[in-house]
Amino acid sequence: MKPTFTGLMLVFFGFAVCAQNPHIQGLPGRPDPARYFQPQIGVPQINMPAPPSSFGMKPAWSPNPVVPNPTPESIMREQRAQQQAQARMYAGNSARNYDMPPCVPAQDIRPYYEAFTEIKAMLDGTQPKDLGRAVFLSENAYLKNLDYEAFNQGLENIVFSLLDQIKKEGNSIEDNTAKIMMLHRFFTDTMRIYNRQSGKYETHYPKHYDFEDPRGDVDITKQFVTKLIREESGQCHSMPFLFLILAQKMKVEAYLSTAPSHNYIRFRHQRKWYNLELTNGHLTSHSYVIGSGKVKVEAIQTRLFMDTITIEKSIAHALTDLASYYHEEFCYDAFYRDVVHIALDYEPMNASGLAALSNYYTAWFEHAKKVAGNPPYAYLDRFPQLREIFGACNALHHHLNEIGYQEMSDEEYEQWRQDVNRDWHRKTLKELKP
Amino acid sequence: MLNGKAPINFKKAVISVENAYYDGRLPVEMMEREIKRLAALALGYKQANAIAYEGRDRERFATYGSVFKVMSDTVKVVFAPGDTLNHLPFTYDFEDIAGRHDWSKMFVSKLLRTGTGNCHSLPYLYKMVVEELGENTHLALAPKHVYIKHRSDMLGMYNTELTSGTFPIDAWLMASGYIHLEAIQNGLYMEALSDKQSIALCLVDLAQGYEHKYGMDDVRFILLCVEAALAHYPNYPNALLLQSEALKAVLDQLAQQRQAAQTQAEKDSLQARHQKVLDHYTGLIKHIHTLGYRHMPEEMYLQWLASIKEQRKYQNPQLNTLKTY
Repeated sequence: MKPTFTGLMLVFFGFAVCAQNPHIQGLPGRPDPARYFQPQIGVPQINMPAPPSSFGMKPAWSPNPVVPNPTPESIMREQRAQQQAQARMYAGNSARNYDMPPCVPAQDIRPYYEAFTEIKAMLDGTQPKDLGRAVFLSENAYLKNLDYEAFNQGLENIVFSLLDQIKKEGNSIEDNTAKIMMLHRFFTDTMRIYNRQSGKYETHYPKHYDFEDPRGDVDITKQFVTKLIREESGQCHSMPFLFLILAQKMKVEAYLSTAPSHNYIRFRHQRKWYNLELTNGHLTSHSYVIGSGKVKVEAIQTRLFMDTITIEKSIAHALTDLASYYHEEFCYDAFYRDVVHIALDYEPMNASGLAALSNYYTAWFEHAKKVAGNPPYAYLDRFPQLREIFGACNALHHHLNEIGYQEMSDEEYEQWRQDVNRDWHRKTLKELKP
Repeated sequence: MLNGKAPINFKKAVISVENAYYDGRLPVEMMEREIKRLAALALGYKQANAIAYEGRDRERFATYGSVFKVMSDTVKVVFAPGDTLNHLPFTYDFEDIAGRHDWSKMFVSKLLRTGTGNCHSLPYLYKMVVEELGENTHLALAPKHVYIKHRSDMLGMYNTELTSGTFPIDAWLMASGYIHLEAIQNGLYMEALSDKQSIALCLVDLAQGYEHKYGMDDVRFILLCVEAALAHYPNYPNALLLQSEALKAVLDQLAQQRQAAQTQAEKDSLQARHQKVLDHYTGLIKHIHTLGYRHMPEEMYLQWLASIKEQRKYQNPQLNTLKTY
């Protein structure tokens, strides 16, 4: 999740547009995603004349334009004439096309489009809801070289061995807590997994936290579940998702839960709720999550954070991930927006989905402003579409504020990382790995 | 005010509740004058000192900041060179914080008279002064505690703590350990209260004042207040607790009457009434527990209150760095 939210805040404050309509559904522009895969004649060209530099007026995007010092009358007359000429210049621009152009020709987005179609079918109910498949599809759309059979078989082998181990230790495989504890052991301890294809035992080491680029800012594959499986190191996105994928296969009742820039697991034992922090293998209290995650009360009340998201609903999160991988490879465009919209339809209180939509609106607004010829703020009313997009940005921002959304700032994240760094458990896990 | 028959006025409600406790002898005009004086001082401070805040709502934010400054820090008023008045802040009174021995410790009138108050009177006075200046602000509840919540364009909702003059993040409220996740999800604590809910708070204060003055011999008035408050603020924990205490008093009285009853018929009817009230009482206790309420000992409360000053991680970093010129 790119931290451009702060950028959005800095850009939009000081504007005098009323923020209305907090519901996402009312916002503009929701065409049918199926049209993406129509053959395109070509990307529409937008030929924009740049405003002549001799006007001397910089496009200032602020409701309080700079008032010039009192000048002699002749200069004022000249400025008035310039303003009138500029008004005439911007007069014809409202009829332009403000939609975001596609990043690349439609053929190039085929892997994403196919992944999107299949994941959407899972959410619609026309395909079985398989979190592992959804996660695989989103990651493979980016990597394009993964083998589903190998991926799935690897997971099945793990599940088989874990269930076997539960039986060996004298517990029932119907016991939810026993299965969760075994999954916990898989993440935090060395285990031997029987590979049914090769007939050999493999040693799986504890999954530790990858401190290098954990947010995936440089290399987004750091967030991938497939990377966690391959390298046995992950972060707060891949670890909970792998846990839930295995939990679904083992028929375990476990839930995804979120905090700012963070995911973890919640489960129930004897009617009490427990939080499992996979990045350090601890069971944590609610106060710990709130304190370390800086969660706001509004977010708890609206169930934006710290809720119990079922494995089936987590598939909507996989769809949000697909959008972010798409952006990582290409850019923001209408396909990205529609993927995010569908994800939010099924999971409206999805923090990363809302952030993704907000990032899109920022980019869309910047694009639309360029299309309109960067008119000064005073001329906003002449461009109804631009005004609509601007209103949508504000409404979304207001909505996010109301529901208690926030991101972990870079300083807070660094502080948290240092705290986890000092955690003695990390040393212990490293000592376990030969 | 709650039934819409009179305009909602928090200051009027608070003053009338305290006046009732003093049997109408509270110097109301003096209190009003004092509040106006504080408002004028805050307005003067706001006009003399710009605040480094760039949001659309900077006027409102500056009002909040100046009232906060007046209440929590010394304000210098310079009349002429060498002629300075230092307006001292209000401070926390650590004696009898729950008003167990002297209920008037909770009062805004006591705060204005002595300059010391507690987590009940300080936020009340803050709200009264801010509303005097024409802005809106919200009370919010925590176990044994009241604080202030504001909405800011740039920061979203943020908390103001008058007892220590800080801006704690929500995590601090929960760090006391007595606010469960369910309590928050059910809106029991930490919700920004509406005007009507604030008036409901005053109604329960009235009931508690009655209880301190006259005891629980006749709980009809207490139940009347509590039920009216709950009609507009169903999950108000103090109202529910007071209701349960009143019902317990009724149960004790019924049990005594049953003991003293002469005839079997009397005994039976009292027993039936006792059972009915007991069922109601048990249901209420269960409801309070399900909502997420947990009783907090006073020593823990004081320890928790001090922790905001001791632990920087609970302070809101965006507000702590806001400068005044």
